[in-house]
Amino acid sequence: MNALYSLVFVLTLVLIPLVGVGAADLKTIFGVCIPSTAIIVFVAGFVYKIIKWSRSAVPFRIPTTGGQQRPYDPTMFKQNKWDNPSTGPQTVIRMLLEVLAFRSLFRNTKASLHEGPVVAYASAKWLWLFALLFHYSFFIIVARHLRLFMEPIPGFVNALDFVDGILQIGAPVVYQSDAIIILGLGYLLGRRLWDARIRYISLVNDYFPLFLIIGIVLSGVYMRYFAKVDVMAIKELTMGLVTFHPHVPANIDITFFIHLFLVSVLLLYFPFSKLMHLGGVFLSPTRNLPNDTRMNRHINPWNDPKVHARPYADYEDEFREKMVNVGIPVDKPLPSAPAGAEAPEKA
Amino acid sequence: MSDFPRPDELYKSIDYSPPATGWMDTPIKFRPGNWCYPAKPDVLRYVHFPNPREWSAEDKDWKLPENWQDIIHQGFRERLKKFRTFQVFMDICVRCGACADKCHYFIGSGDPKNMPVLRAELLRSIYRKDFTLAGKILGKLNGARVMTEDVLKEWFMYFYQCTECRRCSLYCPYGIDTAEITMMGRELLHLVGCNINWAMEPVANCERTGNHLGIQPHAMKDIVDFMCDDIEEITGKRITVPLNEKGHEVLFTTPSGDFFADPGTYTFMGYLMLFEAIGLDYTMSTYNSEGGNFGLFTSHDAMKILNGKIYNEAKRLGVKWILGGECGHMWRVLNQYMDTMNGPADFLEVPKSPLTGTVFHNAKSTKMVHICEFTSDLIRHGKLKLDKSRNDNLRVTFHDSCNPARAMGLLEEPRYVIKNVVNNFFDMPENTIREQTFCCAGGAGLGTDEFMDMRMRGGLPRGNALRYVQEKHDVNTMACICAIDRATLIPLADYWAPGVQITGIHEMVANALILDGEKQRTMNLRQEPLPGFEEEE
Amino acid sequence: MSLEDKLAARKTELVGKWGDVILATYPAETQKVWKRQRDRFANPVGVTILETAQNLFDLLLCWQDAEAIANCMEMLIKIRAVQQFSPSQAISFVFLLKKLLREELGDELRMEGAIEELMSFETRIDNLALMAFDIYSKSREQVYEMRIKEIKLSHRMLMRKADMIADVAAPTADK
Repeated sequence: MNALYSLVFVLTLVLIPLVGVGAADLKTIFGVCIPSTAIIVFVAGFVYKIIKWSRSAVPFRIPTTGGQQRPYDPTMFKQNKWDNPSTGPQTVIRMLLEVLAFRSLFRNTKASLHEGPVVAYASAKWLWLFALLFHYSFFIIVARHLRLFMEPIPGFVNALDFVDGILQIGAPVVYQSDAIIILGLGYLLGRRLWDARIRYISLVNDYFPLFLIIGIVLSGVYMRYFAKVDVMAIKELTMGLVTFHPHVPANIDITFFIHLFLVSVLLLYFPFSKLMHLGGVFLSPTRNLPNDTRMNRHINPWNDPKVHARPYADYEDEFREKMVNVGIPVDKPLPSAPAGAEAPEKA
Repeated sequence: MSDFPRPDELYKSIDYSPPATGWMDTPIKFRPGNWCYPAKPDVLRYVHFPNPREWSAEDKDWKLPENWQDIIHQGFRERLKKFRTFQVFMDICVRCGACADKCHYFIGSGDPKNMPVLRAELLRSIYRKDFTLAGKILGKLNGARVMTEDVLKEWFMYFYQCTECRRCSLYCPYGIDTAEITMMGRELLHLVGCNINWAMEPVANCERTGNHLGIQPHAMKDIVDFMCDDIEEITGKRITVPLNEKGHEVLFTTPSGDFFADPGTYTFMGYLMLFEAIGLDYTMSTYNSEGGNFGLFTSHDAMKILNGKIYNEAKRLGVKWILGGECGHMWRVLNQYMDTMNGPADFLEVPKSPLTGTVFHNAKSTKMVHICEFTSDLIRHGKLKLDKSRNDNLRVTFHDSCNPARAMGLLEEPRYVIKNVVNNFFDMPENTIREQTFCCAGGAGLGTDEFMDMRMRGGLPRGNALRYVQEKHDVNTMACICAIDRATLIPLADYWAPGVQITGIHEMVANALILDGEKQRTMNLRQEPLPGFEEEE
Repeated sequence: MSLEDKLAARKTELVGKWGDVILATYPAETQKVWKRQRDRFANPVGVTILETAQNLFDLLLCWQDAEAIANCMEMLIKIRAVQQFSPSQAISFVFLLKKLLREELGDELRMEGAIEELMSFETRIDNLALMAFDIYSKSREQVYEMRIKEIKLSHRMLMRKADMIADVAAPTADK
């Protein structure tokens, strides 16, 4: 049901530019106004979110430790520096492994004693694999698009372009990243739809971005391989945007406006959704701090000195007599004169 | 007869499949064995917690304060600002499902709401409604829902069906830590007076008397004397134990369970014998006789209040550094919270073993050393005379306690000690030990007897792995370094792997340890015959 | 072809179906996880269900060793005894086999006029149910015993302190 809502919603989004540009000819609105607003909202929203997160305090240092701690003597036991870092640089490596290689997700796949078919483990490995494929191809595609926003085109973008199409299949050359991202998206959507466990926890805000990105990818693929749109015209428009001289050339295919509109929606949606895990992963206190709290004192900005333990003196006052009777040392002696001690009992 | 359905009709009508409703629409049911008894009103009054009253989770009316929704909302807002963990974890979950089958309670119960992701969604759904624009507008479509009494009951059920063991956090690509979520959920529940007695009464007792059962100082002394009696009977040596004495080098702190509860008492005797053997200049204290921290299961304030006693006492007694016993939650607090909460410990010195000269640089700020670190160092320097064969009747495996494993990384030290005091050691399968260890299902205040059904469910993954080494290697003993484990693993083993006994590491150390001038030992600390002395009795 | 032969011939299929209907007593999303994950440490319940169905089926067919049958069922019953089931639900998995066999073989046997054979075979399943009931009760009793034992253990030193235990095991003469 959640999936259906999301699909319908994305299809509606596709209709908007179709009607807007196709029927009403609002090219400036769809080509300039909406994208620039989206970019502004994206940047502002992203910054806002990061600021909001960083303004939340980090009162305690609570990394999840995934291996042997730094021992009292390094020659005695071997520290697992990447999973249980105790210094800044080690923590950076842990974060890099996390962000670039999805190390925690990979843990799922650790081989172990098991019975039954080996396939049992593959599903767990696949999540890691396809998540990695999806994210990397997404990244490459975004980087490739830089060619539309820069003149002259930087060398690394051209290089990326070349490598991505290195198989030299078809004309225009098929980018591997396009094929891989479709594969990745297909898997990520498929497991949400067919894996009962994942379906159970999935919300509209899980399906919606998936369908949205699928829409973006498909419209992009259609433009490149089927409609074979006029890229120079598009570059005219995009360069206009980045140089603040907005201008919409006449001969741009309608598919481009759909593509652009969906991208705008994605940018608008991004800062207010789970997609912010892009930023959040860097701020997760269980991963981005070293396990060094016995070596270096971490400061809690809101530590309240009024919250404190029951003072010893209080404790001794309550139990002094009993302590003295069994010979436990006390700070203050019992009130002297045993005769006096008896007197109140009689009173 | 025609009124009765035919047998095969009856069989066809058997259908135990639950209704296929979404999780938000599936009601929960409290029944004996799946919830812990609420805190007694007197206990709450003693620690000044709100809304003390008599109530039961099975009641319809939980007697909440009139403005409870507002209280929860304000508490939620405050904690989002105070804890970045909370704020970030509310925002970034992508529901990838990597955590779903990692929770021992889910594995054993099959209740989907025990999947960590859904445990967090219990809070997240309210967060979206109260604190995000999209949630306010789109409501349920966006996974948001209104805070109702049913939601609160669900919170109580599932935040007290989580042992804060952090196993799920290990597999989460964003490090989302359900222990942190549960701690926040419990703090919010405290604000309206929904808490459990097995967490709150120990908190009150620890604050007042220094130990979780509320034992007064003179009784503590008697109990220590009993142990010395037993040690004398076993070894022929009378030892004395300094209590609350000033001017010693080391303060020793251990969970109070080891004073009262079998088999923790044997571990405690093990410490005493170890200190005697090496002539350690130490003292213990009745004021901080509980190193374990029930505050960790309650609230950050309660944790700080209970933990503060350790430094207080170290300062008052004028020791140089602190040695900590075998305890799981205690070490989470000591490693990750103590210095921040109650430090700096500038009145202490960097711990240095008086026997080997080893300086514990890895504890240079908190000045607290784990006894397994301390003992492994002694063994390495040959400071202990050990007769491993006294433990030859034991075939041992080791249960990594959640907190030393996933909030510290104390993995090799205990194994080193075990391997030096027993001849037969076998680890359980790889995905059930070390950082991937399975919880005893009784941590975080849930180790109470009325919760036994749920504990057995959650204990199944551990019990199952234990049974495996029992069948494969004839293992008959599971060692652990946690006082809660020493209590909760006993029924777990009795039920899932009958015939396996539970022990602390230092019980085995003391059994192997040769004291100067001891008589020939014929029995172990449990006063059972040692190997080779079975006939003589 | 006797009923036993028929059952033996369709063993894999019937065991699979029996396992499925036992799994069906759990929530839908749980079933999927438990069916797929075959690691016995990551998924003890699912693996136990499948193993029990398999082994029990063989034991039922030869029907000789009562102890082996009890041992075979024990783990599964222990698991279900502490899960969120009523007692009847907990041991229902036995009756689910009866239901399954009637559905799978009932018509065929009726046509052959051999339905009696099934009915006599079902007495084995009935016996199985009685054994299951014994194991279930024993497991529940054990849970309560463990609760008592736990309280005793957690207070032993206190009882000793309160002079409430006369420790007969300790030799009193030489004290």
